[in-house]
Amino acid sequence: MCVRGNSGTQAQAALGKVATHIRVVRDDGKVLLDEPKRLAVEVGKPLSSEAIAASIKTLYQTGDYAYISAVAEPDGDGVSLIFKVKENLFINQVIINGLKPPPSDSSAIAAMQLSLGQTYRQSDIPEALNRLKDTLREEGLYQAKVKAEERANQATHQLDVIVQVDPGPRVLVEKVQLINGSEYRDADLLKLFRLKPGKELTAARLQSGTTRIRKFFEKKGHLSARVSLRRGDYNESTNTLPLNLEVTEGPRVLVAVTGAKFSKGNLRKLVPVYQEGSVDTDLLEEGKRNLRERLERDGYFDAKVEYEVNSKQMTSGRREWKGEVETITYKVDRGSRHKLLRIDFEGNRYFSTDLLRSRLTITPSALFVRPRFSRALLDADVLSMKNLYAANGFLSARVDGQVLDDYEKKTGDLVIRFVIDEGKQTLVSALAIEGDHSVSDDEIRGVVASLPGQPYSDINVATDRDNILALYFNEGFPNATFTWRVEPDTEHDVAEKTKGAEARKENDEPLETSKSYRIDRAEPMKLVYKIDEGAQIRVKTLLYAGYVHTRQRVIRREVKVKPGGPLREGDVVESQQKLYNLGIFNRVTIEPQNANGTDPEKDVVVLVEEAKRYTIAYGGGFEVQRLASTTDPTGGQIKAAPRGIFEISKENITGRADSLSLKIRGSTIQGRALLAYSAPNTFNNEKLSFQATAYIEKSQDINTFTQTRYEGNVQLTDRLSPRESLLFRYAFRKVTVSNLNIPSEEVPLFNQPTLVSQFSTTWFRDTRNNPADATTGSFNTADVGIADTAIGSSASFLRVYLQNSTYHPIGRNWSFARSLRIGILQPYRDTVSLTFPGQTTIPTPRIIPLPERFYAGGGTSLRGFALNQAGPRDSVTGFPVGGQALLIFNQELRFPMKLPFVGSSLGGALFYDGGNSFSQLSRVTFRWSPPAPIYRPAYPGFKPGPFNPAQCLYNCTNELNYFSHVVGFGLRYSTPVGPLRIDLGYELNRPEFVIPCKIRVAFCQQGTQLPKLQVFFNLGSSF
Amino acid sequence: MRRWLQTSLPALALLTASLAAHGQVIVDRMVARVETDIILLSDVRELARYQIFADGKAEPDEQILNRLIDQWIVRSEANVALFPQPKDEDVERSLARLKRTFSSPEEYEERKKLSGLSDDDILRLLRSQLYLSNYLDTRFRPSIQVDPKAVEEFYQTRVVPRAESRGQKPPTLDAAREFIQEALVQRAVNEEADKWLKESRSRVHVQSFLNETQP
Repeated sequence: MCVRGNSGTQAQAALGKVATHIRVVRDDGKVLLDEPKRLAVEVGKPLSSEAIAASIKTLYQTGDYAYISAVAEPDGDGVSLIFKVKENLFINQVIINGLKPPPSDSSAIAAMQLSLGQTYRQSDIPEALNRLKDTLREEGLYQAKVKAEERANQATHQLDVIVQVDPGPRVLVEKVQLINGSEYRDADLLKLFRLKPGKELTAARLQSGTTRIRKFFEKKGHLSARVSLRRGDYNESTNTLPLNLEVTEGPRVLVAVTGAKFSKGNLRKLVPVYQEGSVDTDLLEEGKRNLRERLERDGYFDAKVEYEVNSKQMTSGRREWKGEVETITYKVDRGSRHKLLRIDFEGNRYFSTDLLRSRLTITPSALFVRPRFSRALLDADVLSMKNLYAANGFLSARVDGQVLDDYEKKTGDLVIRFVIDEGKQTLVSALAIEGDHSVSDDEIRGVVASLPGQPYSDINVATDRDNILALYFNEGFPNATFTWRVEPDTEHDVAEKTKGAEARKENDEPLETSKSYRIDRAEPMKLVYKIDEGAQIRVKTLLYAGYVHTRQRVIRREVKVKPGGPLREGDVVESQQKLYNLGIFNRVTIEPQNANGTDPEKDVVVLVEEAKRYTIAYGGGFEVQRLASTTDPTGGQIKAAPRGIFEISKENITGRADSLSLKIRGSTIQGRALLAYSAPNTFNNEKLSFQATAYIEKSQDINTFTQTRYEGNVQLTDRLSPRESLLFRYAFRKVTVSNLNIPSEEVPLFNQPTLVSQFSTTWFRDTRNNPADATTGSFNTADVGIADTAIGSSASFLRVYLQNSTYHPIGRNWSFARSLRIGILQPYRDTVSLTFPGQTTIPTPRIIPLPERFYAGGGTSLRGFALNQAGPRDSVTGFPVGGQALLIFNQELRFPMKLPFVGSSLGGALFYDGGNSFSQLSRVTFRWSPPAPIYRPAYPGFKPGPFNPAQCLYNCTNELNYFSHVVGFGLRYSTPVGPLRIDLGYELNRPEFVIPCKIRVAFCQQGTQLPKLQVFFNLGSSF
Repeated sequence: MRRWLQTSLPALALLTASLAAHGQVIVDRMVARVETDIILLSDVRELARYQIFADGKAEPDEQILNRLIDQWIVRSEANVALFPQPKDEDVERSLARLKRTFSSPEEYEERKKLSGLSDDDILRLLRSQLYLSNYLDTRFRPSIQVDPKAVEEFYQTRVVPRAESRGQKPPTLDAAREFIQEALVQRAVNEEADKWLKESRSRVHVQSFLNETQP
């Protein structure tokens, strides 16, 4: 009391005197703030106890200081006031060393609950270590020792916590004490539990052990079985832990349905006693509702479902289970089946019938489509329609969903009629915005729906609130609040105020356009939105942490949050996305330090966790290929071989988020080794990326020789927009043949050695909603390339390829897709077009290498041909040689189908493919068929036979320039990676072409045709 | 008081001596951090003054700080529950009751002067205390049941002996029943509140700097 009185007396003496100077000083004497603002104490004013206390509290609330004392120092007639402070530290990285998973490092860090940017308190670390120890014990690490080292960085106020874990041995199971409250044998249950004495214990093992027993009981029908596990007392000397496993089986529950058939799987989905693992009235009632709903959907609209529960003791049978059996029997009276003929609307004037219909969940019967209807779906549609009207200002709209059964006295026919009473529309007459100082009025009005002349509704106001607050949050106002009030506007003329709505009506698709229709208006409303912005949080400094190999500027480049600017939520999310997109970080956290402090200037920490740099993958398999035949131009041979794959990649090799990977794939049929390098943000431009690839491929497309392909290419990708890119590429490839099993002159032209050195540019724009299975949008691409002998190519030619595909939804589930592909190859200078028949005299002309030519046919091209089988063929052998021009049209009508077992995942398609690969651009034609070959015996006048073979006399070139027409039907089964397709194509105009006779006779030729029908199994969309 | 002197004296003396060398004097400082809030030395001093005013003497600073921490817990709960502030007339009634505990108005004024509190300070502190006690009462009273036997026992062991010791005739049990019932409820409310506060204290992060010059 004496000292307090003493110091109190001195303090009292200081109070009342004028403050001459006010400073905030760190414990080491550094002045942090001189004449700080927004404090209760002010220079030139007398000091008071209340003002000093208030100032300390204000300073503390900034979150910047851990401790504050106010010290007065005589200064002439007044006093100088010093707030002596100790600055806060904030949690930065938490690193765990020495842990033996489980738990993983990230689980252990999460268990510690030390968040990035959190204010550090001395008690935090011991508490966090205790939580970590609990987690380690959960995982069986009872002897784990943990200690934490705190590394503070006073300059950035960050504190790293490095936790050293000595996990010790994992605890072993001592014994499993089973309290078996079931009729099943102990040994059987313990076998399911799997954790035997002496085995290491982990949380996952305990969990899966109990789950297995629970599932066993579930399978046996004991839906309310209980399996509980308690850990006994840990024995430190033996490092063992006893386990107490308690099992009660409860009655065996059987669920039966009479009067209707439900598959076992469906019953498990519909009757929730299976999922909940218990039986009570609520669950049984829910099961009853679900079964009725399902029957209604199947057209049994009058279905009645009741249930009864019976219990009995099973005692008979020597080896059978004995105990209580509870049978739940759902008794179904399906009634007659109904057919939902159509859906009618009455009384809708504001919204068109088409618009209302498009929003329904119920659907009438249609071709390949089963009706979708139930009472619950009808109620949901009625509610959705009411909400639609309410959102458009029809606050008193009424919608009645009527079910007209036995329509027009036809038993089972059902018509749904929605009778709508729209009522009056309420509009907004005026909108006032108050309290918006930092965001302009226009900007706010840009995100608001309730503008003057627009419909008034609570739903719109709620949306406006969300949009306005999102706008503020994104401008760095996390504490912005929104309130609103509304009152009827009795002063304004309704007609005048509704001019805006009429104007909107003209532009708004859903509105009815009938001129005779006049909307009934209710009294308009005046709206006032009041915004309390709160303080804007700004970024003081950006701090980076957690990176080891990555260069800081790579991280900095992706971070959109800028020092000095507002802390925008959108920038934070975008920065995180961009950093994740680099593919080198497992986790990216961006948090302000001192998030809860009132100091509006925040240091923002970008903490990254680098992913592992090396990835190794390997695997084996079996491959089956249909190899083309060298002897039969229309035939092939199936060959199978074991296959091995090995991949190794190193990410972030130079710290620039670049990667290098080596992929090797090999089998006895073919092999491939590929080395690829890719680097994002080329030339420090986030839109540019660089890729380089080199590979060697050895393949055996034809079973008489081996083809080796060497290819290297470099590519620069310019991402013009999220949907549009430009690619610049240089490619060099060399293809050679080896291991010939036939004379080299018989190697088809298709596989002659080639050398291509080519520069090309590709532009593409993709607006498809789902590239794997698009229903709307478009895909356009243009590719222009040039290969020249001057740069090492074996031929000089220009290559142009264009594609335009569009996708159009029809109604809700149908869609139409079409595509046009055009390709042009133009030889120049020393290179000429391939002639038909080909020139065989030496010197042979320089032609465009066959692998570079355009081919057509296959599951994604012309579906009336096998892969690459359309277009010109070699006049001697009959093999396809590709063309210098390509024209392909594809049209496809896609529709849903509903069949038993597969549900709505199955769809169908009707398609038409037209076009071909043509020998030259000038030979592109739409003619139905090329002239048919005409044959005659080698020695006219003599009887045809082995010594007088048939020979082609006219039209023998196999140039086959014609426009093929293919129609077909396909099935689609949707999978997460695109549709699984089966397409059946039929070519309407098969031409005949010339091949050597199948019976080997010199100079003998015969005509042949490709098969009429082609079947394709593919994964992914056709185009 | 003596104990407080023994514990606080060395630290404060050291601080005062070091500051005095620079002619500096601590006018206020943090003495505890409770969750995200702080308690200042001026808060301790003010409650000590109020104790001197009401009881004639102040508790040691540690005890006062403990009380302030308890008050913080109750106030935080009450604020979260949006518990209403006491009305002015309730505060006035409470002040009148307080005044009645003094033997005379002169003693009241003399104690006020001794403590250094103004009328506004007293009203503010009373209002704060009333807010807290009202909240605790509202929170715990509904769950309290008074056993009729406890009422009789209280009458026999407390009311009758007290009246007799004053040479007065004790009131009848029926006449005293309501008063006894209320007293028992109050006692139970206090017990429940103490129990709850003890539990809450174990969950609340508190760091005290009362006896430290700087942590």
